[in-house]
Amino acid sequence: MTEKRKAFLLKVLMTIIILGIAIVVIYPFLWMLSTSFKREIDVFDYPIKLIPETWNFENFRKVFADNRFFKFYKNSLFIAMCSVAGNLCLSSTAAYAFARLRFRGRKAIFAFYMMTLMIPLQIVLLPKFIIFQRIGLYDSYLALILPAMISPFATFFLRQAYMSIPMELTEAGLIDGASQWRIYLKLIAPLAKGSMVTVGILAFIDSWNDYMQPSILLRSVEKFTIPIGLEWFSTSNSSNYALIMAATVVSLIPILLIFILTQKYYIESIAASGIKG
Amino acid sequence: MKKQSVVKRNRNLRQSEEFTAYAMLLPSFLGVILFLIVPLVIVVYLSFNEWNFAQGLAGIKWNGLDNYIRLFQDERVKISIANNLIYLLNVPITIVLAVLLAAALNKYVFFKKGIRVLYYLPFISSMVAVSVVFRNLFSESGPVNQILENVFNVSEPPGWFLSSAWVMPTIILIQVWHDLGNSTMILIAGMQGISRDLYEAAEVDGANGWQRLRRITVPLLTPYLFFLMVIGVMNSFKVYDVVKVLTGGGPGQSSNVLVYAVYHYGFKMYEMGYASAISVLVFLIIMAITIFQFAGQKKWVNY
Repeated sequence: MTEKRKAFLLKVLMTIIILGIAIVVIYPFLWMLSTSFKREIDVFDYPIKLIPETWNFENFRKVFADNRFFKFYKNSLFIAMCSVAGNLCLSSTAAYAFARLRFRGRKAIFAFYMMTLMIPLQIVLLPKFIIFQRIGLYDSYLALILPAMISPFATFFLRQAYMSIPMELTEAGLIDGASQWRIYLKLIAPLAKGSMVTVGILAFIDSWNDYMQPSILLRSVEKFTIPIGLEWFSTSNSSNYALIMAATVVSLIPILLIFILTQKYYIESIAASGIKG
Repeated sequence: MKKQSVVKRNRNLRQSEEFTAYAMLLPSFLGVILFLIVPLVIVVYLSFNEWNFAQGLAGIKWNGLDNYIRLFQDERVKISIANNLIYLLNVPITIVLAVLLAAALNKYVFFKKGIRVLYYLPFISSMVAVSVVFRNLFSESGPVNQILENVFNVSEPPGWFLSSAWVMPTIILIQVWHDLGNSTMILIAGMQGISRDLYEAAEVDGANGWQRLRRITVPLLTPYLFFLMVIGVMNSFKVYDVVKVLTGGGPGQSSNVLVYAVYHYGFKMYEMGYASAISVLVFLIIMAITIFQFAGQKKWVNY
């Protein structure tokens, strides 16, 4: 009994400690949120008040009144959705071939794919910039979408998922006279839906948060995505801290929503693959 | 007669399977060639050339190893390499904190699902948003310094990203904060694969919590620790966003890192050849360290 009690007390104590650290960890978010509702003159008041003394909704009104912020949203959403859709199509067909079809060169091509995982995107950005300049894709959404459709990682991840589905299913399909395409679309892909959703979410977050590529490959403000838009907004309003924090809150909302709604898939995916970041 | 037709049918089936496979692979394969391999070849080629981008393609001039020789004399590159090496510190710090946090979250805490989400929030936030918030949090008269001055009586709080001595520690702090939740989650996944029996046996033998963590959990987590280490080291040499948005490589050149140097020479000075040489250097460093890590894993990773 006392042992049990001791374990219980330990658990309570640990919960308090871990929760305390968690509050420190999310403090930047709390501060951002509270500042976004403050008046400019109250921002750096001490003692720090996380609940504003005077509520000020003007900041959010200004962010939303700036049409460009809406445009950034639309751009980011468009680019992310096209990237995700393209990535899912291309990676899942390639993964299906690697996992469930026999063809000459399969091992070698797959090994080649795995090697390309080692190529950092930061390193190929400069030549991509040059190529896109030459072929007229610079400062276009396609410059971001096309490369994002290619993902050796997603291919690998989906291959693992397809491999775990019994081959008997394919055999049954073949006996019924279905083609491999049909088997892929009607039988196998639906069974790997969970992994597809995971890959989709990871790709969406990557695209949404990407900063370096759009900052190099886009030039016109009206084409900006949220991250470079936010940087642009914060340099052009450099001393309006409350306003900048409101813009930051607005920039984070979609990704936080997506994360909270799809948490289950997301957390399973890192548990399953470990790879991310 | 009948047997022959079966063989033939099988061969046809195989051929059509092969054809389908190539058709399915082709778009992705072309993409890999076009957006990864061709750019890699170009960047390697350009690294042996001098090219001011403004002069167009005609301005490309072969200069052999000049760019690589220049790397060794360039103050900015030296600072960048040193900073990337200092920056590596974020990897062990994150891993140690994540092991402790994962051990606690895995067993000793109520509401662990909800708490996990809190720790995870930094990781899904864009580095731009994070940098913008930290720029204000850590500004000279910002909340962090206010707390240091008033609660902890620090008379001269650090200048954080505005001081050349503190800028790298500040960036490391942000990186650790950003990655902690993700690393923790990966380790929790690993811990759930460890058999309960081992802990029970250890308990019977009188091992305390700390000994169980050190003697059972950590050794059995080594594949996960190895994974975090490899990815963490790779990411440390790719760091860019936070430097660009928060410090712009400053104050002075004190927070330059290699990828930022690529940006500086390539997209500000338009010296494409030299920027390519720095890119190749980053790639070689990442490859070398990764190979080295894989070679060394036998010594400490238990599979």
